[in-house]
Amino acid sequence: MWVNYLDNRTAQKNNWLKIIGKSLLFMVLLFMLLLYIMPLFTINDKRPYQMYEAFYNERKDSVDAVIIGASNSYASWQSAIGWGDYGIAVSMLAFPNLMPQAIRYCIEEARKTQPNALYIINVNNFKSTEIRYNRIHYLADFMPFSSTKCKLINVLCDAGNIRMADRIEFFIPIIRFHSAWDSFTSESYSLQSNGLKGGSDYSLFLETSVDVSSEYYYTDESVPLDDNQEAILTELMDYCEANNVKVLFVAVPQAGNQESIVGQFNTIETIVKKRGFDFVNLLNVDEIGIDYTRDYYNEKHMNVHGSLKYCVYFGKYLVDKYGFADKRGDSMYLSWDYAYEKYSAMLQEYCIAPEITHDVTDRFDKIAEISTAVFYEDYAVLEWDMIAEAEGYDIFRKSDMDDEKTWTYVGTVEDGSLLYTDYGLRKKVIYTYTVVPYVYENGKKEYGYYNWEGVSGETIPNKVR
Amino acid sequence: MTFVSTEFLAFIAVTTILYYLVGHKYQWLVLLFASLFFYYSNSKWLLLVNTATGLITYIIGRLIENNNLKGKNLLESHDDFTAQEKKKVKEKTKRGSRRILTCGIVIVLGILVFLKYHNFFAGNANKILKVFGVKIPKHSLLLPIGISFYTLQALAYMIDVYRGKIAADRNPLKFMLFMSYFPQIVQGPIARYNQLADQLYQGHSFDYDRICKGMQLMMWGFVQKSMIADRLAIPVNQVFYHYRDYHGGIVFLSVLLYGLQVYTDFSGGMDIARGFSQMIGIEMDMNFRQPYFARSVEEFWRRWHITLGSWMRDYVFYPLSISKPFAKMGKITRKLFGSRVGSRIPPFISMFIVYTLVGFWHGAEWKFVAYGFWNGMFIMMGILLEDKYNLFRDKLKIDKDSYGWIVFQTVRTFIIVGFGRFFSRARGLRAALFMIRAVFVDFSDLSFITDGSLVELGLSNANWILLIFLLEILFIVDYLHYKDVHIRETIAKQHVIFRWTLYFAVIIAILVFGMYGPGYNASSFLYEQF
Repeated sequence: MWVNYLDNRTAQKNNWLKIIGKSLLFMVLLFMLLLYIMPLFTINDKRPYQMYEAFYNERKDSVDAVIIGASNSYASWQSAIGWGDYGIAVSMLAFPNLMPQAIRYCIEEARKTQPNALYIINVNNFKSTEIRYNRIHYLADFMPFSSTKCKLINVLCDAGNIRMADRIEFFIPIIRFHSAWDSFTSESYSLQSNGLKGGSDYSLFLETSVDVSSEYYYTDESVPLDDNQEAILTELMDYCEANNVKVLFVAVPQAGNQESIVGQFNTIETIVKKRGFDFVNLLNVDEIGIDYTRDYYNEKHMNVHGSLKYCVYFGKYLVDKYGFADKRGDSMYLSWDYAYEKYSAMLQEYCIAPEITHDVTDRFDKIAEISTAVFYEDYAVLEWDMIAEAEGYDIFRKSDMDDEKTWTYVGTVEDGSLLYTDYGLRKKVIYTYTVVPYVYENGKKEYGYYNWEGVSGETIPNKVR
Repeated sequence: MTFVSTEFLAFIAVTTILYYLVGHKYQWLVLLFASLFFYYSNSKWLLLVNTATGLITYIIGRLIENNNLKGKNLLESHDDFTAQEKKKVKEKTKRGSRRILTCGIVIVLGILVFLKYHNFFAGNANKILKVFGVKIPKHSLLLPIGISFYTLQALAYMIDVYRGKIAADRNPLKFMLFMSYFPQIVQGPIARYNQLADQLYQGHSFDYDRICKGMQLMMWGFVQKSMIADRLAIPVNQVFYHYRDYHGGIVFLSVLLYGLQVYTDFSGGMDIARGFSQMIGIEMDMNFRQPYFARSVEEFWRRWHITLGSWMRDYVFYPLSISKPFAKMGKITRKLFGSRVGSRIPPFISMFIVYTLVGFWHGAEWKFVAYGFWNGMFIMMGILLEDKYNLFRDKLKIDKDSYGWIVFQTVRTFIIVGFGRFFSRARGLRAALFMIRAVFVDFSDLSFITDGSLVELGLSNANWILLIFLLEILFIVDYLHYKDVHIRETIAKQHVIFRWTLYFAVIIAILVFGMYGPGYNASSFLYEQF
C-alpha cells in the first residue's frame, strides 16, 4: 500500500513538473517571439531609436558631454560635426517635446554608462510641462527596461493623471501601435542604427528655410516660473547636487519666443547660478552668426545651415570652458570618425560642403542667384547676377543620377564673367546648379551665401535640328 | 474593464490562480469577490442594483419555499383532513405562493422596466397626454451592466421555485454569485439556476487539459471579437451613421456586414466567457449553434441567442399558450375558422407576442419592436406557407436535399434576417425604412466593389483583404462545427510543433491585427447595450 502511495506521489510530482516545464517553455518561446516583433510596433517617428542606439553604443565613460533636451537640441547640435571640427565627443539624449519632468531621469539613465560626462541641459522646452501620451512614447519606446524606465514612466503618468491600467502601453507599445501593420514599408522591418550619432537627417531640417526674423524676441527681464516648473527645476538641481553631476544649462537660439519664455530663461539662469551651476544663454549671441531670415525651418528649430553655425560656436565654447581634449585620431573613437564622414557626406547634397556653410562671409550684399540656365543635349549654359566685391565664383552641380546626388564642384569663373558652360552632361537627366561667390582672404577663399536649393533643368533627349 | 483589455487578462489570470490556490471550499467565494469587483469596475455603485435584485430574488425564493413547506407540513401534520380540506390547503398554499411570486416579479421586472423602459413609455404617453396638458417627467438613468440578462435569470429562478422545479437557495452570498457571475454578466448566456448554480458552488480541481482548452476557446473568442467584429464595425458604423450619403448597394452590403459583426461580436464574447469558465471547470450554456447555416428564420432563432429563445419559450410562450384566455380564444377561433386554421391562431399570437418581446428586450425603442415584428412575421409566414412552398418546390422538381437548394435556403435566410437588422441597427425606425427603401430604389450597380468606394468606408485595402481572409476562416470553423467536427480535439491530436506554431500564430495575430487598445474605442460589446 505504501509503495502504491509513494508511486502515486512520484507520478503526481512528475506530472506537475511536466506541466510547469511545458508552460514555462511555451511562455519563454512566446516571450522571445514577442521581443522580436515588438520593436516594429513603436512610435512612428524613429528618431528616438537612433538617439538611444547612438548613446548606448558608446563605450563606457567615453564621452565628454551629453546634451539632454527637446527637438531644438538635435536641430541645433550635430555630434558628428562637433567631432569633425574639434574632436570632442558630445553625445545626445534629445527627444521631440521632452518634458522637463523627464530630464532628471534621462540624466540618471545616461549616468549608468557615462558617469563623468558633463550634462548639458537644454532649457528651451522648460515650459512644456504638459504630459501627452506621444511625448512619453518618444521617451519610453526604445529605452531598455530598467528601474529608471519604470520610474520615468510612473512620474510622467502621475503628473499627467494617467490611470495605472493605461500605463502598460508605455512598457508594451504594441498595445497602441499594433495597427501600424498596414502602413509598413520594407524599412520598417530593417530598423538599425544609422551611425550618425543622433545627427538630424530629416527632410524638414535639410531642405527647408523659413524667414523667422519677425518672430525673434529677446529681453533682459525675468519672468517667474510657475510652481510646477520651480518644483521640477529644484528636484533636478537636488538630484544633480546629490550625485555630483557636472551640469551646464543652456538656452539655444530660437525665434518664436513669447516674452514669458525668454523671460523665464533669465529666471532659470538666476536660480541655477545661485545653486552653483553653469548657465549660458545663447539667444542673443551675435558671434554665432545666425541669420533668422534663412537659418531656421520653423521658428523654434534651426535648419542644417543654422545648425552648422551653431556647432562651430558651441563646440568652441565647450572646448574653451571645459578643456575637452581633441580626440581625433584616437583609435578608440573610430565610430566618431565614421559618423563625421557619413554625416558630412550626407550634408553635401544640401549644403555643398559643411565647411563652406559655416565659414561664410557676410561681406557680400546678396546671395548669388542663377538668372538663366539653358539645358541642351550634353551641356548647360548658366548665367547669374553679379555680386559686388566677389573675386570669383565656384560652380557646383548635382543630378538625379544615383552617383551625383551630392553637390560636386565643376568649375570656377574668375575673370569677371557671369557665364559658365558645363559640358559632358548626359541626355535626359535633371541637373541642379548653384553658384558660390568668394573673395580671397590671406590667400584662402572665403565664401559668400549661395542658394543651396539651386536651379534645376533637364537635358534634352535628342539633338534639336 | 472590458473583455478585450489587458486589465481583463490580468484580472482573469489572478482570479484563476486564486481560484485554484484557495481550495475547493472557498472557490465560490473567490468567484463572488471577483464578480463583485468586475461589476463595480464597470458599473460602479450600480452594483447595488444588481445586489438588491439578487437579494429580493433570494428572499422571494425563500418565502415561496417556506410557504410551500408550510402547506406541506400542515397537510402532513393533519392526517385527518378530508380530500376537500386537503385541496383547500393546497389551493391556499398555491395562492399564497403565487401572490409572493407576483410580488417578486413586479419588483424585479419593475426595476428593469423603470430603469430601461421608463423614458420610452413616458415619451410615448406624453404624446397622448399632451392633449390633457399632462407630462410625465423623463429621467436620465444609467443602466446597470447586464440588467436585461440577470433580470431574466432572476425571474426564471423565482418561477422555477414556485413551480417546485428547484429548491430555493439557502445561502444569500452563494445566490449573489449566481446573479453576478462575471463572465456571463456582460451579455449572457441567460443561465438557469439548475444548470449553473451547483457548478458555481462546488469546487473544481486543477486540470491542465481543461485549462488549455479553455484558453483556446478564449483565443477564438478574441479572434472573433477583436479581429473580425471590431474591424467590421468601422465600415458598418460609417454607413449607418451617414446612411443618406450612400447608395443602395453599399447600404445593402453594410447590413450584411452588420449581421456578421453582431454575430462575431456576440459569439466572440460568449466564447471568451465560456473559455474562462471552462478554465475553472464550469460549463456554460451554448448560446449559438452556427446560426447563419440556418435554412429558415425559425431555425435561425433556434440557433441564435439560444438561451433567450428557450427562456421565452419556457416562461412566456408555453404559459401563454396553455393559459385560460388562450384556451378560450382557441375554442372561438376553431368555431370561426375551422379546426385547421383556428387551432393555429392562438399559438401564432403567442409567438407574435414572444417575438415582439424579444425585440423589445433588445431596447426601449420602436425600431426594436419592429425588429421583433419582422422576425415574428417571417416565422409565421414560413409556417403558414410551408405547404404551398413545398408544393411549388416539387413542381419545379427541385430536390430538397440538393446542395444548391440548401445553399439557396441558407442565403435566403441570411438575407431575410439581415434585412431585419436594419431595424435593430439603424438610428431609428425612420432611418431603417429609409435604408430599406434605398436598397430597392437606389441599387444601381456593383461598381462600388471595385471603384474604391469601400476604402472610403474607413478600412484600408490591406484591412479589407485581411477581413475577407478572416471571414473565410470563420466560415470554415463554423462549417466544421456544423458538421460536428471537434476542432479543439482535432488540434490536440496534432504534433506539438504544429500545435504551438498555431497557438503562437493566433496570439501574435490577435496582438497585431486585433482592434483593441487606446487607438480604438469599439471594444465594448453590442449585446452589452441590450
